[in-house]
Amino acid sequence: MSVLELKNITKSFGANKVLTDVNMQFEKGEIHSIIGENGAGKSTLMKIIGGIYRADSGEVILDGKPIVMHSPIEAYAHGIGIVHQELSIVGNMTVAQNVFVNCEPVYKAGFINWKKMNSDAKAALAEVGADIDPTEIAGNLSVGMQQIVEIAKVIAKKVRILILDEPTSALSDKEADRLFEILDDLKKKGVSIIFISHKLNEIIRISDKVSVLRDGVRTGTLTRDEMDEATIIRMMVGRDLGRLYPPRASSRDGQVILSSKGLSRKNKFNNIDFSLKKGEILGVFGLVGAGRTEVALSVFGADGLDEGTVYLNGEEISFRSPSDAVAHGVCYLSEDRKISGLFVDMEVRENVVSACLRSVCSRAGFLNQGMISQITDDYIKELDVHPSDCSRFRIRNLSGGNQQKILFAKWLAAKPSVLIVDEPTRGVDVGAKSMIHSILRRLAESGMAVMMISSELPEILGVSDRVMVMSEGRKTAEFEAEGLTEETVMNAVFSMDGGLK
Amino acid sequence: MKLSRFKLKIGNRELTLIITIALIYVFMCFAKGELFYARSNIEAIFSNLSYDLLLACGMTFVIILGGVDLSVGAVLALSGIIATLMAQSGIPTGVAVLAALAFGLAIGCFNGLLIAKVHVAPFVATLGSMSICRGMCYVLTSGYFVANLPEAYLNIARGSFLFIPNKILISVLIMVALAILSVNFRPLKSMYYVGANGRAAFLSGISSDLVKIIGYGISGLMAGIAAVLMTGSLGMGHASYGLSFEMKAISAAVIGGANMAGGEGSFLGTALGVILVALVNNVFIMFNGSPNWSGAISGIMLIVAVAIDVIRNKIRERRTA
Repeated sequence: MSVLELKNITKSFGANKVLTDVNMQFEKGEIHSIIGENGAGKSTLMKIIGGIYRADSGEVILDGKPIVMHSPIEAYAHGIGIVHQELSIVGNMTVAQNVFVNCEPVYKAGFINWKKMNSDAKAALAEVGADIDPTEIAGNLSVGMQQIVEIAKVIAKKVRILILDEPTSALSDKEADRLFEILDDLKKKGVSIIFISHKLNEIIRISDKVSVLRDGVRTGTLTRDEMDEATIIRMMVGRDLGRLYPPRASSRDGQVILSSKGLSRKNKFNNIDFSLKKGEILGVFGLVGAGRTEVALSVFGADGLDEGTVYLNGEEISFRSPSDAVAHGVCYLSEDRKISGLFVDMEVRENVVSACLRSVCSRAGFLNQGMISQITDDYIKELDVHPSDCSRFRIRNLSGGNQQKILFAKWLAAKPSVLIVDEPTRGVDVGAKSMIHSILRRLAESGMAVMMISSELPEILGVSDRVMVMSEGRKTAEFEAEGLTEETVMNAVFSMDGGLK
Repeated sequence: MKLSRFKLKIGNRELTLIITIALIYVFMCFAKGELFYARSNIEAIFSNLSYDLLLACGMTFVIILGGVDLSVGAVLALSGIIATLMAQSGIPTGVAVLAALAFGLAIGCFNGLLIAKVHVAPFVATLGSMSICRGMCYVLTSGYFVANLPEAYLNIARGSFLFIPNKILISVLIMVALAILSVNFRPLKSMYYVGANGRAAFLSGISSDLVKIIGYGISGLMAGIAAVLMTGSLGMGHASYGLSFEMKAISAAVIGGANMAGGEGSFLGTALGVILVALVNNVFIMFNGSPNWSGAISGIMLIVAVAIDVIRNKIRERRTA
């Protein structure tokens, strides 16, 4: 008998049918992955299992008995715990306080038993194989470690079914490896794990089963020996994607537009030289914390520089602020669209022109609404944003992939000559991802210089023309992308003097 | 078809307010007749409302920016004292009025500077300015009225144009102008971006610091204008003018749909919020309630408005999430 079974789950929001007759079985001691494009209904399904939403029809069957849950607290009582995509760590409290948030061990009078809390936390962390000091302030831990604390927090509630929603999106490869070992261990202890991710290679590596959702319908479940990338992609998008990556640059002899010499910022990065050529994509690879985003922000004028010079078209320049950089045609597409990229509660059209307000208003400063609508409609069409009449929608109501397209539209509308993109495909599905890759290539071919910061090695190798590797704030290597292998790049990451010779 | 369109629109804050105001108006016309709709009563409602309207306008900008301006009431008092002291001592009226406006603008910009450049929390920065200004009022006047003002100064607020009293005309015109500009004029429209997501606005090349300074500057300027109208209308300046006006302004803006978290706010909504509060107070007085209740009434309306908002958002989330 399955531990958890979903029977004919259907759920609609208004007229929008999100899940249709979904059936799934989750077994004890098994990692069952769920994959699907953004908007396929994965999160909604997880929220139904986690007691946050209730299905319109269908049953959630636990140990053979149908259950009805009204809140996440009831889900915990049934032994179901979710680790959400967004970390809920309280940065200025200790690890132990985070682990036992709202269920602190107390003395009879209600005062917290600190000694027990710390030792229990230690035990909970040991259970997930982590050696973290429970009295450490959680904010001082790396993101990877915080993720593990988050899992310990859920495990400490004695869950039998653990749901992880894109747990690796903020982790380095090394940290992700660590996480997988922990999951494997939990699995052996009999925990059922439901794993949601966009990363095919991860899914194939760790899952016992994978179920694919497309437009709210389960298109199939594959067992370990049936899994391969092509099959999964076909089930996700309903078609073959063809070439996974766009072709490389047709010409490599464009002039250098943006370059730098000896850029340094205390405790962030040291002595960085780079050059961006017209028509080329420079991939910048490194683990989380390598200093890539910091370099980009300093060049863009959002942060200061301690030393070094930036050259634009051969002339020394120093941007005082992002508005200065944008005025010079240098744009930076930030890594976290919700926090620093888009205005999620504003309309699509307002977002699209947010980086080019000056160019859509009259000399006296009055916005030209007709022009704004025109620009918005043009980009919605060009980038194939869904739905196509979303001009007055709030960003919040679009799916992740379409939000990312609007973020691109916003920066394209600013007419850049240099575009720095930071993790351009984080948290978007395979279809949107391949679309974004071809947009980047098209922009480069139209004469733009593109810098692509990414933590995904296949993307770096597949999209870039040249690859720059950073590690712990230093540039450790630069390669031609043609024929480059993952091993070469990873070696450069881990050996400080790798390819500079 | 018609019904569904009506339903859709009623979710809109401004329409809800207009309907509420209209219902109260019609009800009062029947209940109290002449006593209520007499020109003198309507004018009484509007004449007290013009200061609130100006301050609430400025406050709407500040709230859109994600902040709050506690200093407006005190700035009103101090600007009024500066202008009346100058006018009283024979300085030309024009200069005295300009001084009041300039002072309001300057204090507003000072607040904006503290908040944008020094990163002081808006609540704290404007609380400080509030105490300083209120304190200075007493230092300058020792609590005495500043009276015996020249005719020219009084006429600014007491005069009328086409049978409409000047102070109503001025405040309504400013309100309408700001409402229109906030939609289409770039420096004002930028406030919505800065309030909705400051980091994203900064990285989009919007000069967020400057925008904040302008926003608080406008709020101060509004207090300066209100000061000239109030002192002219009452014929004197005093250190206690504008006491707790900041709270009335915040309430009106929030009742009108402004979001204290920033990024959202409507000038029409704010204006309707001001009118609704004034109307309800008038109704209360008409039924022989004590005017002492006015504070409590606006508090109740504020909480009801916010509660309705929360409930409506929940319903909307359930529909679209």
